Amino acid sequence: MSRRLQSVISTALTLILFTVLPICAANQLPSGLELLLSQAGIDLTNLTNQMAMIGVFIAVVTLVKGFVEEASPLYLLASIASSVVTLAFTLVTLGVGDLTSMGISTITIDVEGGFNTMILDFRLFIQLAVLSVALQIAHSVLQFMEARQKSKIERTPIPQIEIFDTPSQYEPVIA
Amino acid sequence: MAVQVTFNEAAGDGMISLDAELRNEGLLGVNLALGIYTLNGSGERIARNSTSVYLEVGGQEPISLSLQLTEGMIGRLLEGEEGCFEVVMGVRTLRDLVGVSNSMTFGGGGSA
Repeated sequence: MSRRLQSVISTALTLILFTVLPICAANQLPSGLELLLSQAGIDLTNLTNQMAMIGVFIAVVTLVKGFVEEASPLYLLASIASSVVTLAFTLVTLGVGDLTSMGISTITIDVEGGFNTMILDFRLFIQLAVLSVALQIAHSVLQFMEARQKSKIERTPIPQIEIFDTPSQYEPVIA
Repeated sequence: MAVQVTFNEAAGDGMISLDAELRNEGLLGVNLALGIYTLNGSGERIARNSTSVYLEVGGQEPISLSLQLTEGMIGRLLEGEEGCFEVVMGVRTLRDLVGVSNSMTFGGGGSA
């Protein structure tokens, strides 16, 4: 399978997973749950839009990566952007729509006679995601450097070697 | 989990008691923390009774906590003011690296 076809398939899957599914899931939620989420301070529309936008961005970057050479700086940029945006997706998802919460989310819901506060501490997953993105970026840089070296070798002209047809041509001349 | 508020009219004091049967039906061992707090008018914790327990997978542990209520606190509860006492439950796992904590703040007439 060619790289281009692979990237087109990856783009389609990314769009389905990160953009189409969250929007469909949000539309299927019962209105009672939507109201409860909004009371808890979770803006579902905003969360879905953020996820969908990130999904579109990842899909575009995946497509770009399939159509440019690995030795191209654009490929490196696309790889880094893809990793960073994947981290943003993790932050948005674990922060329940708040990109800056860094894994600690507080949800407060009014209940009869008082209120209920829930604190979710998912900092470990954020730290693992940051580590994973750092490794992905390092991998992209190494891959880019390797590809550059390969393309440099391929572009270097091979020195012309003169081949003599008959042995008499390289016989020593005796003066 | 049951939270009960009892008044002793003769003595002018009361008690909040919390009884729970904690069970770990998950896949990992967890640290469970449970506490009841009384709050002053500005929402600060002024008295507490809390405990924590480590539960292995499939483990269970009954927990019973109680907290004495002062006369002033009972007055606030009887007047139906919000935010008089708080019940906190926390669950942490993966060597306490991941956790969820839930706090329910109630006033007069509330129940958890």
